[in-house]
Amino acid sequence: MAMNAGGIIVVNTETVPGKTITETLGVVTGSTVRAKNVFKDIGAGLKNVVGGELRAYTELLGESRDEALQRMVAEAQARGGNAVVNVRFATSAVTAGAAELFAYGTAVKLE
Amino acid sequence: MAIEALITVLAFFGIAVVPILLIIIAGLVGGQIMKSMQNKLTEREQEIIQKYGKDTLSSLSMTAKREVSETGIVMASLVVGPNYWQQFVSKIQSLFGGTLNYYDQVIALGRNEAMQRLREAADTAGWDEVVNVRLETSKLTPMVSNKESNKAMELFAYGTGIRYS
Repeated sequence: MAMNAGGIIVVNTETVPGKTITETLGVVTGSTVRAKNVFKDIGAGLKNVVGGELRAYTELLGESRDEALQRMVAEAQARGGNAVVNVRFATSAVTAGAAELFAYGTAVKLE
Repeated sequence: MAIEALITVLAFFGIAVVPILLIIIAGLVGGQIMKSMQNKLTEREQEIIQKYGKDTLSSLSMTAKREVSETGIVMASLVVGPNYWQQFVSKIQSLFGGTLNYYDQVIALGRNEAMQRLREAADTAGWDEVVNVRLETSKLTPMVSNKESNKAMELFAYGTGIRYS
């Protein structure tokens, strides 16, 4: 899952190695709130009996996180940045059966 | 009323016996599932170590003072849950306090698996190394809030992949 969408560099380090930051454009965020599918929930419930990985949930959260990241990148692009540094992720349970996946970082201009 | 008696018996059977049966099944099968997960994981870890000669993950922001040609984010995650047997034993253990061994094992295994997936994702994307690795754990809420439902947690690992020039 290498993310270099639209030529935008996304890293979770404070600087982009080998490049110089010329301007910071503020914090950009992206989030999605997703609910689980009831049928997938039943399937996962059956898997939960014997334990191990619950693949339906893994996929769902992976997709949602990608989407949150895409939204963050789109915001950075709209501000005219060409990289997002110091990216952080957060997950919170907003309501029963739904999770918010949240990505944020600092949009910057690289030389 | 023979039918009513029959329904009562069946209802009792459904309420009392099925969960106990599921716990027993989980106790018999669950251990094997975790063992095979652990074995596969150890094999895959060895593969990566043999290929790169070291662990490719690092939690430092920068490891070597070498020219870097490209960077990008890498993520990997999985959702795991303890099985019914483990939940049952843990519930009894939590009355007395102390270590919940089964939760320990499940989380440790899940986290190692997430880190291994991060190594593999970095390998597929062609990164030489992953720096600034961060690990996160979160709980998934049950679908029906007032009922005990699936116990699941997400283990998430992310970092910055770098390619040396």
